[in-house]
Amino acid sequence: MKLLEALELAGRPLPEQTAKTRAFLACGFTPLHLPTFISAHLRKPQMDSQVEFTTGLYGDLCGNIERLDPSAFDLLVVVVEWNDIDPRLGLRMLGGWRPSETAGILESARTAATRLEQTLTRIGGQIPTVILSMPTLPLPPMFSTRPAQAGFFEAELHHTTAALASSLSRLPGFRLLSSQKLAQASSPSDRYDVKSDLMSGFPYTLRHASALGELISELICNRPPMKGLITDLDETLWAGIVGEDGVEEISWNLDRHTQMHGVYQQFLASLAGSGVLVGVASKNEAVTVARAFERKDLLLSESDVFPIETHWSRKSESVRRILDTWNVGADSVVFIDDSPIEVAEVHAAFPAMECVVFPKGNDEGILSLLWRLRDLFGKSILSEDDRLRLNSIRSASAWRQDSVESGSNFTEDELLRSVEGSLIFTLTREGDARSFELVNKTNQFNLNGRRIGESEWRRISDDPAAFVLSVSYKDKYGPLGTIAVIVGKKKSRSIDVDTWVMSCRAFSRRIEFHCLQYIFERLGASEVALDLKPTGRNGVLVEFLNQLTPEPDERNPRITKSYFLEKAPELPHRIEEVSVCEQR
Amino acid sequence: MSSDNDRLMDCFATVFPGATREEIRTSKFEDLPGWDSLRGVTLLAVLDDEFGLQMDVTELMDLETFEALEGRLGDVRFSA
Repeated sequence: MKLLEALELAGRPLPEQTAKTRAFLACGFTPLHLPTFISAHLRKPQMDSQVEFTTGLYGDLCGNIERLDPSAFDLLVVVVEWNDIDPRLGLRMLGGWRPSETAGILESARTAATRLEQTLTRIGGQIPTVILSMPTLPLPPMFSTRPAQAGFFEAELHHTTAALASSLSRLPGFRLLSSQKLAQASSPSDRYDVKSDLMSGFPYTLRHASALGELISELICNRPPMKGLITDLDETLWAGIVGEDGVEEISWNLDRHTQMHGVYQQFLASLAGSGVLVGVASKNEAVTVARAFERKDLLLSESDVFPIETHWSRKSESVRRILDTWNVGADSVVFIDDSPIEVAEVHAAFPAMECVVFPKGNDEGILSLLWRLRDLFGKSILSEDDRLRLNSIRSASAWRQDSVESGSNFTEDELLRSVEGSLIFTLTREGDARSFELVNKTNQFNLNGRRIGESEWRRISDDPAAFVLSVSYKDKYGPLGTIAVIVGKKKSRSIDVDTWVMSCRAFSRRIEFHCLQYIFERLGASEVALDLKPTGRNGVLVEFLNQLTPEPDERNPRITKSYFLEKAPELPHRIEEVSVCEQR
Repeated sequence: MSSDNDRLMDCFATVFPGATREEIRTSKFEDLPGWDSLRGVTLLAVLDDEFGLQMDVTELMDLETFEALEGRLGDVRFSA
């Protein structure tokens, strides 16, 4: 992006209701065009967010961070360059580069890194999100070795900043900018503008400032990842056609020049391990595919994949069934198949779905595809619920099947009792990452469809009356993980609920009744007021609430404890553990 | 007006959104609404980025007006 375009984009007005993020840009150089480029990239259609930057004093990166008032900002962007580590590592300070002085520079760099780590660790706990960029500019020609040779001091300087980055990257709320990704977008030899640095204190070429701004904007925006991937098998998950070539002849190895299919398999296993739903849609005989999945050298095991749709009907039929099983929208799923015709057929049936032709025989193309998929599915942190997700889907599917099969033999009460369900209620003043994720991706059982930004989420606890109630569920079919979240405020004997979501996997188990019972009994409420807004997709919740109020009100229903107790059915689940935080 | 001059006007209008085109055309740089050293440095960066026109602040201020800058841009184009 050129500077003129960035100025135009950054200056373009946004709709009044667009939330404005208050950000502090901490850097030791003159920030000049960097906030412009970050703001401009944030105005791209898929991001469309607004950040208001405050900057600090020139040449005092750490001091700027130490002085800032954390309560005044939702976001801290820290851009470190070498002269923040020691001013002699830049050209604007003439402090001497004699070999005898390099040990002192290294010592000073270590001290600066320690100070920065302590400062950011302290402040990081008080600001919701911290974006961190480590030095992007080259070190100056100060060492006694030829440029081709990295000597001890150079290596130690890199080690010092790498150790700092590694330590900070593990802190909650920290997002470290990838130097590898930056190198793809901005060549290291084309980053430093010496004239600009000396004249104005802004050290970046415009091209580099744009590339850096783009990546920082991506980390700020942190768009939600896709949820599921549906893959073909023949000539995609493996090379060959299993129904014709036989189970032993399909391949994914170096000898047969089919290694990239193995790389694809281990990539999918990695996605499955991080909570991405992986399903299979293949035109094949089920028994043949089952035998193929028994091969010990397959890097994607059958337990990583659910469901596997193998038949000779249209691919779009398989995709439809998989989406039903997962209960996710087509716009959160990627479909991959080596056949352009199959891809076109699925895309015609699901225009919102990302449909990709697997580039078989094109190793570079497959690697590019994997990078693209990593971008679509990448997430900032992994949670325990990510690990549970696939089993949870299997459990829900088994539950549905059993419900249908036993429907005529058991009453609903008997069926619910037989599953031996238990609920874990966790009441906190600030919700965890999984609860945040659930709030922002649930559509059906969602009180009002309101999405909560990261900053707002992390600042819930600022209100002494606020609480976050998260609910986990397990039964004889296995754990479903965190399946419901309620955010509200306690007002004497009344509870105001402004956010209530529940995963569709947990439907039909009366968990919503248990949630209200918990609020009435454990929080001592006699009335619950709900900020309900019909969204067109939350009919299931509207219907549920209507049965608990004598005169259904589709805007702001109030449920009294006495009416709830009168109307609630038998509540079958055990409350296994209740973690209660003290309300201020 | 040549397309270069149109682009030059667009550059000024973007860097100085509070100034009318007439003000840009007739005012001295330092009298433009919103002029400060930061905008001056931004204008220089935009001129370099859009036209490859490299100047420092002193050279820019010596030119004083948009019209003189148009002439300077024309000279650079002519000699290229």
